[in-house]
Amino acid sequence: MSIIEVQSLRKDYSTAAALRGVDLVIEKGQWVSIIGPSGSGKTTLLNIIGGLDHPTDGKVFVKGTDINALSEDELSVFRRENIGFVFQQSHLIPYLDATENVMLAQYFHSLPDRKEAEEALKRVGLGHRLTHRPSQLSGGEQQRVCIARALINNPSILLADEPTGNLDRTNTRNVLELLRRLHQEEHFTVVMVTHDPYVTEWAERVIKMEDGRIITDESVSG
Amino acid sequence: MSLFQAEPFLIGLKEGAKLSIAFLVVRAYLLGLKREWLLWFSRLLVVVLPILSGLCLFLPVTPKTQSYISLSVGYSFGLLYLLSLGFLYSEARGEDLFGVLSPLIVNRVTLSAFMVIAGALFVLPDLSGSLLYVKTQAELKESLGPFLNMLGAFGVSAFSLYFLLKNRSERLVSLVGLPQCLLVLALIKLIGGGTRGFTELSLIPSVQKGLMKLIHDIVHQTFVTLMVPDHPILKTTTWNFIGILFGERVSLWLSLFVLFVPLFAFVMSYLNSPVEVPEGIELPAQRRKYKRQIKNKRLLRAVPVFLFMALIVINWFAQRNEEITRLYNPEPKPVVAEDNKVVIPISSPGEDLRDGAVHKFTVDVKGEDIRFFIIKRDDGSLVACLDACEVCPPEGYAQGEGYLVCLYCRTPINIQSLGKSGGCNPIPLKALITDRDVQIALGELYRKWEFVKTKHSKSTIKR
Amino acid sequence: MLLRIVRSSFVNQKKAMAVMIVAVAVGTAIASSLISLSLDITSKVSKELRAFGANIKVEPRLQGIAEVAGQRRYLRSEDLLKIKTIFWRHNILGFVPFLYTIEPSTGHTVIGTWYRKSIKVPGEREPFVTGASEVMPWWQIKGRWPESENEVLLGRELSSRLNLRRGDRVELFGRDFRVSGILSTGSKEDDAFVLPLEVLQKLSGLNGKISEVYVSALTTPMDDFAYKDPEKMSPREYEKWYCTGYVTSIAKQIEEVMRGSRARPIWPVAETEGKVLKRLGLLIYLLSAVSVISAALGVSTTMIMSLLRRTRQVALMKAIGADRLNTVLIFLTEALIVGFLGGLTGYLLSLLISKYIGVEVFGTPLRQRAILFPLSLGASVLIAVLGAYLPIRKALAIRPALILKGE
Repeated sequence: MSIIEVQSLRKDYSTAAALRGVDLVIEKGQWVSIIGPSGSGKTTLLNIIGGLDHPTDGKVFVKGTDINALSEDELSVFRRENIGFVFQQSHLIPYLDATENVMLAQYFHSLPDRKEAEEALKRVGLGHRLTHRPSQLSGGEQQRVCIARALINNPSILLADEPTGNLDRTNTRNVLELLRRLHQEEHFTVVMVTHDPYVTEWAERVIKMEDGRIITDESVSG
Repeated sequence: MSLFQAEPFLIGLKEGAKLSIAFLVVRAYLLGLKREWLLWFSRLLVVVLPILSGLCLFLPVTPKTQSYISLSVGYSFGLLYLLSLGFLYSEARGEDLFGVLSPLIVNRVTLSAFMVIAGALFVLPDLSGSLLYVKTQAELKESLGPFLNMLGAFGVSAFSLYFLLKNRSERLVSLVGLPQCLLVLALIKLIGGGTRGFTELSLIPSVQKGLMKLIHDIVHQTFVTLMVPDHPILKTTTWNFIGILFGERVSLWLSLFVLFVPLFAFVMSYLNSPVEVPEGIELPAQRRKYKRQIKNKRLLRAVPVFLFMALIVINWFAQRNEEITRLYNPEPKPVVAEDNKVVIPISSPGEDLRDGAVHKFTVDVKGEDIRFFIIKRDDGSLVACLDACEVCPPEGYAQGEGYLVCLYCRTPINIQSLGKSGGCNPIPLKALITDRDVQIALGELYRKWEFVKTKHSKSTIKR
Repeated sequence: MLLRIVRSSFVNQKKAMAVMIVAVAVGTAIASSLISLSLDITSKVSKELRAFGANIKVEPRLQGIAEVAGQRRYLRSEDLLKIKTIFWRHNILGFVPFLYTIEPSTGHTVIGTWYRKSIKVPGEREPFVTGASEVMPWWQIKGRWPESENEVLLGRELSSRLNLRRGDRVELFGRDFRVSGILSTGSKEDDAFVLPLEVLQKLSGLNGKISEVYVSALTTPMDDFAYKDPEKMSPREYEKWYCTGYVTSIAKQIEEVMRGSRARPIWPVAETEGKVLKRLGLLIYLLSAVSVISAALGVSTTMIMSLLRRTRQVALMKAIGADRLNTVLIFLTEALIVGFLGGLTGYLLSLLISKYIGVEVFGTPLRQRAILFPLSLGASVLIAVLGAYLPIRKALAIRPALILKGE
């Protein structure tokens, strides 16, 4: 069963074209890595799937919904109920502590629930860092807060843009191990953009992009 | 005389607007109930009740009828308000809207009766009051003009508002439950109520006056039952101190408290009461979402209540500086005649005729309650007068600052001129004033009171 | 959560918030004290029931040929007593007659009047005390009212012009007078000689004549009905009007008993003042609008600055699911809190300002009105919300994809 379906997607910026006709189907529960050099259009593709950006041409269906047809508010609702984001830079609100950063996502979704947020942080191994501000956390810890936040509303899709881009090898492996564990427990779909071949080792399917096109698309078994 | 008369026209506009807005709100509620026959029933009511209120035109226009009507406007407002509080409370408790009454409400007969009563409470007093007021105008003008103006404006505003807002009221359906519906009715009364012209139902002063009396009675009774001597020591120091409780300031804040706090408490408990998530919703995010939806719905339903609270606060600020009619009008104290005369001691516990305030008394003579008063004039002498004059219907007098005011025609009377007859002055009584008491013959009282009663109507003055 | 977000934005940007609060406070203070000024004017106008002072003026009616010829006409002394015989006689608190003459040789004005006169009203035992001391209690006499036939009172201005003092001698109508006191009234008596009415009537040969009468009456406050033209009333309306103690109907009855007279109500001084000030109303509202708008602009620019510093946070919130309402709520709550705090400060400020204005304009501080408080809060919230409009528009326009990508 496909959860994401992208049809002849084009995105033109004023200077250059970022996507030049992309077709892609992602199955439910798959872990997909998109790899390519910078400027290959992989981040743009991810943003369009997540409803953060609009395509110039083409269609995107997420869970059967044509997300380009949604209004801005409908898109917000769709996003907070179905999609979790993890960015390269651990984007956290600097003046809120770890728990509150997770609660923020709950608040926009429905209601903040401190207990639930704390549980989520414990699950990513941050039970001892609940009231720390982002500035008091290491890069790996920050990224784990982001993962807890992205998954707090039980999304069916996790979109990650270079989640390990700023981490060293050890931390990268820790974060990816964590994601694999959660992925196995909750069966959400993962689409992860990276330029690091090491990261693709965790994926079930690797898509290679260059110059706004998909050049290879191979499934990795096991 | 011109055909268009602004005042009755505006009264008509106001009443029409009140009726059609009220109907639309009720309609929104009934649509929510999904009972078609109720809608027809309410339409019928909207036609019948105004016609019924026309019956009041056969009543004589006396100050008494007018005061009864304005009282019933006030009471019906209070009743609607309290009812809405009650239903709000049951909704806040998460009970079925009708609580224990639900089997009754399903019954057509009881539901119809409820609607008839609520409708009558809403329509009859206001409309009759306005009609009576227009009637006095028509009588003064000796023409039907005011009536025609009022009726025309009534029709125009009722129909135009109805058709303008009809479609909008459909969107209100989810917002309006029974408490909200009743609250809006009370709100409409609060803004557009009042029987005379456009004068508002003066909410704050009337609540304030009631509270002042209540506190006074409670404190006074406590002291009396405790057998604390009221007079010698208490009067000067302690009593003055206790007197602060009776004052306007305390009752002013209390009136805000009484009106505002129940609503506030109900709304808060309503909004904060926990949400039961039905089984079958497993994911935490889904459970949160369900709670949010219920809370949003509650918030929307609380909007009329918030509006009402805002109105109370605004009303309070607007009216707190209004004099609660500084007129002093004590209840007449009943006295009993002996040897065909009334004897009133000048100084008795709790009362001193020479304190400068008006002292009213009533005595029963041949089944007539005759009212009279005794007051000290500026020169220090006491004077006794009937609580009525030769001209106006015997409504009596109240005391303002340095003068008395006829409660019928609002004419101020110079206190020093009391004892002189004529004009709007109260009819003086021949009294024997000794060092200890004031004595008035019953015959004197009866003769002059009868004169007032028979000579009610003013002789027309020729130009 | 919302409050947590807003609180931290206050804690993190104390300076910007303080600037906004001050802008709101100043705008509110100016607007609300101006509006309370205009409210006070109208209330001063509507206050008709006065404690003392004349409220009816009776003068000769000019008719026909006399009017054309400009011939002087007088009222008659003997009619004065009839004022106490009208239907509303008990409501007449006092009256004072005036006779105006010109001293033939010097051209000075000589005024005859009653100061404290005890008169016998037919049918009443006690005498009725009336005169300028009752009706015009603000009259001040340094010295005393003339007691013998050769004493005269001198107006304050005239005394300084003629350099005459108490006890000095002066010649009037060919007779010698001694100045018994200096009178100050704030009106035309200041520039005249004042004599007892009867003395002047005899001297000037105008026996039994008076120029005008001021009457002080206790009246029913004017309502809408009272302002109707009696000529256009139906007989029943006319009867009701005649039998109600309006100043107009009392004046009408006085006119009926004094031959050849015209009686007009004197509207309180504040009403004429008020008419001038009412015209300033538009200016007042304009000024308040300007102060509100400029304060709103101040809030707006400060808020946009603070928004620019928080662009990334707003973008992030949008990415994790904030819809437009959430975004608006954050900035609106901020604005409302700024408005509320600014309003409180502005209210306190406006109390000071209106006190100052009151002393400058009316000589007394303006009444401290309770309505000023909600008025200030209303104005300040209006300012803050107006000011937040543009920043909110800007915040809504933030595209998370663009902001979050660019490192």
